Amino acid sequence: MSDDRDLQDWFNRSVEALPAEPFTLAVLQRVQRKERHWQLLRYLAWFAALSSCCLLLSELIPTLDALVTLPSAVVDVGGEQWPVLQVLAVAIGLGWWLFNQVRDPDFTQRAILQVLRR
Amino acid sequence: MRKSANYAAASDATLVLLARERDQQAFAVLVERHQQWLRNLLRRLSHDRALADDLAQQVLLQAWGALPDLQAGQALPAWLKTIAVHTWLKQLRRNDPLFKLDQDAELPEQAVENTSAMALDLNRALAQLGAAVRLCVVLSYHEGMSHGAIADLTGLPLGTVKSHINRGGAQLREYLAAYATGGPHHE
Repeated sequence: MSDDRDLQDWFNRSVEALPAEPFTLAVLQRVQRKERHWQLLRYLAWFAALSSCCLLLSELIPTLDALVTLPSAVVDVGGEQWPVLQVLAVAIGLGWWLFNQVRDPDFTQRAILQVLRR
Repeated sequence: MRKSANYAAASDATLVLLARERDQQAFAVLVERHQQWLRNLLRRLSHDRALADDLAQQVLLQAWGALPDLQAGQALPAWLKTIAVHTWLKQLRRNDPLFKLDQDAELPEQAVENTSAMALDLNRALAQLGAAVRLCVVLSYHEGMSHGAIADLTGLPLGTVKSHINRGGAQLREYLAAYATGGPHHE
């Protein structure tokens, strides 16, 4: 028990007094950089979402039954006709991946490693 | 100036609420309050000052992004500790993609008797332990966590945690004895 206390004392005595200022500044700089990235990404996401909505609406609104026949509706992507559900699925998948990658820069690497481990 | 004084006097809970609203000054005060403890914890785990500071910055950056997830009434240090341990485990896996905490039970092969002549400081002594043993010992002695809490945090079985702490503690005590007879060593 006394040995345990000695060990505990050793840990307590070894706590280093570390100056806060340079470290806090470095953290704040990284926070500000991250905030700028998020801001830029938000603008891009809004732009992409609005563009997609405009594209879809321009394709779907002319035909009144488009909403009813959504599963079979097609959109023009680069001159080719694509099923709208397929386009939406790809867009949602890409958006999900991008969102996770921004939140966690190692997301892709860890996902690949998890697949390899299986 | 007055605003800074108000921030400095504010409680953690108040500062967290402000930081959730993206108030960077409030977050800076939180960083100032908790940086020493956080950096010391990561120095114990990584035994590398530069790496520990970089990891501590990553932890705080992650905390900044995840502040909305911090539940009301949840203690900030405990939450930061959870992020710190996960960040440390992620760092271990980055160095070794096949690293698994529950398969890292063995102590390294450095012979204890060879260290008797060495004057080891605590971080050097901790560096002699395997990653899983070191993590359990640091959380137990540095953080004062119970065995059950360590098991919850690390995902290791309770028996494994107890065994790691007993074995790691015993080994550290041998280093401590060598340290006491060999005299302290300062970096």
